[in-house]
Amino acid sequence: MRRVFGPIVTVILGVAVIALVGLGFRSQTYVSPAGTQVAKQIGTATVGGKTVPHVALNLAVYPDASGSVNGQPVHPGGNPSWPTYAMTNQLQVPANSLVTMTIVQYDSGGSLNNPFFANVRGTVGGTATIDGKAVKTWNPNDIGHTFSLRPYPGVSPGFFVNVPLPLAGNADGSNNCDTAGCPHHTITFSFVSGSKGLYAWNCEFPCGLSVAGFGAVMSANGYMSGDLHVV
Amino acid sequence: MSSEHSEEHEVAKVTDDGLLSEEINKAAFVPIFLMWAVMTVLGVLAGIFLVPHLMPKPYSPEGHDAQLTVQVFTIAAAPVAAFVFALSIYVLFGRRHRGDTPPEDGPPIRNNNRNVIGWLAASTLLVGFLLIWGITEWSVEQSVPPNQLQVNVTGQQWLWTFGYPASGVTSNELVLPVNRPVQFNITSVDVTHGFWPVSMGIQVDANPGQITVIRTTPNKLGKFVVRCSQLCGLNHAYMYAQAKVVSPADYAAWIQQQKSMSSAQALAGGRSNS
Amino acid sequence: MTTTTTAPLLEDTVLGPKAGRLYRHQNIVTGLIGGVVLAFIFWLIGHATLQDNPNWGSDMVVTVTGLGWVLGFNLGMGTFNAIWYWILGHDQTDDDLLYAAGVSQGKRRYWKYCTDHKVVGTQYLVLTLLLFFVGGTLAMMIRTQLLNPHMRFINQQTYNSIVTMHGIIMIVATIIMVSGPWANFIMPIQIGAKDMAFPRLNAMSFWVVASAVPFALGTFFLDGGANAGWTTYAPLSVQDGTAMDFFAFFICTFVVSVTVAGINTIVTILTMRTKGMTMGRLPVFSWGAMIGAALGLYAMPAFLLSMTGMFTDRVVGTSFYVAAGGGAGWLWENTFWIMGHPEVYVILVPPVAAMLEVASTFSRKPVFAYKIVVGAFAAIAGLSILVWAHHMFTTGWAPDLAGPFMLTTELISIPTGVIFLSIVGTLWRGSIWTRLPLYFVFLFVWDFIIGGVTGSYLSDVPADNFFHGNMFVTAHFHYTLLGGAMIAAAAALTYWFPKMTGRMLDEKVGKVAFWIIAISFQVTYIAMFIEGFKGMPRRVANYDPLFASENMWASMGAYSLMIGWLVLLYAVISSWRKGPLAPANPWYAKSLEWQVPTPVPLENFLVEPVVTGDPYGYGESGEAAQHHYFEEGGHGHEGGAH
Repeated sequence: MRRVFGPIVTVILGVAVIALVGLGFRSQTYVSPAGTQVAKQIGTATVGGKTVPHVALNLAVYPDASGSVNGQPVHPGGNPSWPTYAMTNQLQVPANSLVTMTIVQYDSGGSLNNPFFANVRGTVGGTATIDGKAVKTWNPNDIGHTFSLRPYPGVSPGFFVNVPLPLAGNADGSNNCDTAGCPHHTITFSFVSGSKGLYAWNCEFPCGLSVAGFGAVMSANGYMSGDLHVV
Repeated sequence: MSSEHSEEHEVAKVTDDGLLSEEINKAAFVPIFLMWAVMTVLGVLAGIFLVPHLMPKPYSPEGHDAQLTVQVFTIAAAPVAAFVFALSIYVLFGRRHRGDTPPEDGPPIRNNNRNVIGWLAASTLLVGFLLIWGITEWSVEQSVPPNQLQVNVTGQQWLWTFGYPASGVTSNELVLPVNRPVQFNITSVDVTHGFWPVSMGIQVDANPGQITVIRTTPNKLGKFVVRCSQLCGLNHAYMYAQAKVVSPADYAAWIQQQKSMSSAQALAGGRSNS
Repeated sequence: MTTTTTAPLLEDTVLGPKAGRLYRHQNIVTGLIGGVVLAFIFWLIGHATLQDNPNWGSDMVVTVTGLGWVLGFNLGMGTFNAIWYWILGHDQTDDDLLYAAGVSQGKRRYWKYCTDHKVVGTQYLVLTLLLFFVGGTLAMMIRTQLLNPHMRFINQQTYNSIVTMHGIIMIVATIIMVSGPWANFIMPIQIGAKDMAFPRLNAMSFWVVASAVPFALGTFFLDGGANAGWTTYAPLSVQDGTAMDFFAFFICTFVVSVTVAGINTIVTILTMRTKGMTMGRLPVFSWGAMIGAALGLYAMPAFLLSMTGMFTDRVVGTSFYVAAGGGAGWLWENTFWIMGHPEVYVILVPPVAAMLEVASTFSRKPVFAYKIVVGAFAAIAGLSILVWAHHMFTTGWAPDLAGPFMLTTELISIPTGVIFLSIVGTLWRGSIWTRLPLYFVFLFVWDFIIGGVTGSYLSDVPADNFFHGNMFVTAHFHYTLLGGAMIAAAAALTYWFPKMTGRMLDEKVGKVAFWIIAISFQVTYIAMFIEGFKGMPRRVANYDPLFASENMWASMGAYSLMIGWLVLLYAVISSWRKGPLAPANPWYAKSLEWQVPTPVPLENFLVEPVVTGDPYGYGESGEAAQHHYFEEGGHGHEGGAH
């Protein structure tokens, strides 16, 4: 019995250590260096006959990450020549609420790889309000970026949202400007967050380099893609 | 000095002429057979019951074929694997020697033509069976039925879009009417993606600059997913679409609802020309 | 058999003060300095001249810097010294050659460019262990990310780069894991030679692959990492950031090393066998090393070809693989898998051949069906050239070729079955000596049967339509490569450890490691098979909660597996440093490597061996059953290039 005591204890201890390490990591959550934007409540709304919280999120899209707003860099530690969503790509909303998102788009643009993403999908009323006018679609050749959102695998029932963000810019096509006075568009839309889950969003406009314009910034975490946490 | 070593060896007198001499035969047969039988039965049961329990419910004949193939191959493989396992485990039943000096030598059995030929013949037969199964199944799946519903699938980083050219509708969801043959015409606008409607037992890559074609007939109502099976960059894990097989009436209603949505020139497979 | 010689040992030769010339001052430190300096100079030049192109400028600068590193490192190591001397007309003296072989340098020779095949073999072993350690750590990060379906331990870009580098580091490590250490250290002794046919190329092949390793590690620091999977399918790899240039450099450098090593192995076996060692008496391991090397010579150039095309697509703007310019991803896939399939047999054949030696020694019986199993190795190698498109069943390329490729792929299972016949036939009725190397033989049989059988599922096109790109594929190749090839390599390591290190491996600790590895491996990869049956795709940072419990088991099993390997590594390191000294032939085996003293003298044999039979004469009597005898008189060894 003494001979097997040592090995048995070792095995039990080993299993315990592995289990603790695994369980410890299991609940770790990635935190963006720019933090998470928690949607602020702005009131209540009626959806499907029920009263739900009404929350708001604000994003901006800048032509490059070199600037700052109110003293805060728009993309801390980022490649200053790459366009970026700001101020963070991690968004959080409560479950079962009406979410109104406002995006201010400063960047120039061009044609989408797939014109489908010029359509508004998944929003309340099937429209988005662009500079005060409600639209269902936009010219697929005049797109700056898109906000395209889908659930993480297995999140059910999930929802899909797609909103085109028109290109901004001067008549000569230039736009390297990221303060409020520069040319920009304001896009507002609302959707209903369902039950708890994670959603992944990314832009579908090829503002990157290389094959199909989806290299470089488009393929780098934190610029043109992010997560929506429905908690 | 002759170079043929088999002629040179004065082999110590060996009573058997191969792997299984009579006395070894009897002693070995029962334990090996028992081990083999237990492992084979477990493998066969796994093939019959465990496989369909784990695999997604098939939504098409191809999906059913894939599942049946996995079951049949499991059942065919079980006795083969069990045989090798049983033999190698049995080896450990005999004298085992520990220590720093080796035991005395074993019998100098260099070859046994009967066993080698038997082994080769058995493996050839097994391979032949697997091949005939596979080729038969595959050629049945190549037929092209009439009255196909055409669905254009576009893969892009990192979402699927589906176009129904007959109705002029594009969607991010795949909706199909049950029991109607469908032909998927698939392409990509950037890198290689894998169009994988998981429960339908078919799959093909979406290649930029090519249109690849696969066909099936959904034969079950319900929901499943289309996943991307070819690493395509940052959000590959999140590139999937919801799929639904519905009755023809529900399908028609869905088409109508999609038509009432926005009207950008949503053609699958490439940029618009304006 | 007496080995009386009054001549002094070659390694005790007193060399002149200038022996070795430039080599005297060169070692890994000068190599590193040379690499860094030349890389920096090339970077400066590149940055000044090539940066302008907005699309490819940084790719070009990275490429040029990488070239500087490889050239500088090897210049600093002394890889090219012999060429300089030859160009300048200064032939190397005998003292120079002895210095290059490590005479009078003691342990320092392991840090230098040393032509002694035993030193090169030891260097390869250390490099392989290092690569496995890095690859294994990356695997632990993958499995940690996959603990939870929606885990955010690392973001998906980092995850993709870790998956990519884990794959390629493990592939490179498994290619060299037996042909590096053992085909270099053991094979020449086994065939009765003094050294390899091309000792300088031997040392070069090691230092070139060593200089490639920083590229692999460097990808993590460039532009978000190489993210296209180890198979780097184009056009995704063309789209990727500058790290992909380092990846391509890693592979191109590695292919140079492997090609040189392969030629060396084959020429050595064909031309440097001692008297009486006909091909029919060659030990199985040497056959395996040669067949593996020959297959590598066929396959690796295809890797270089595909990588070069991807490289030029990225750096210069060609369109081999980019559809917009007229190229096709199919071209990449074909050239890649023309390498990729034979490559797994390059990985598999040498370890399996080594493992047959182990099976024979520890059952005290000849290798069963020796000629037929050698034929099976050759058949596997030959057939593997014809099966590559089974990786492309779902690409939409040439659907009419699905049938023929199904045929060739299924046919490979016939010679693979012969390998099992040989192992089982060798063990059957043997006097089983349960030492640690034999444990790994049994584990190989278990793992490789499962791996091989699941391969047949994938060779069936309708089934592959479900399994392609699915975790089932991952579980299948881990069973064959980790459970098969690596376990056979562990058998080789534990078998030849006493000869290489001069010490006995701690078997108690080794057996503990064995059981941890054996059991954790099954837990991890059976859970992964279940993930595959359920439909989980590969290379995903997050997944459907449907697969949650299998992934949890797989991750726990993986942590445990890593611990098992670390325990084995601990046994290797501690035994190497202070294990009990090993006798020359602790396993009482018959092949030539066990007939020389430990530590093995320079040029291996004090007296020329003459071979009279194969090394499997267990249980036989008579003079002809003896493998060899040593020539009387002991006047040293003739023949062989140096």
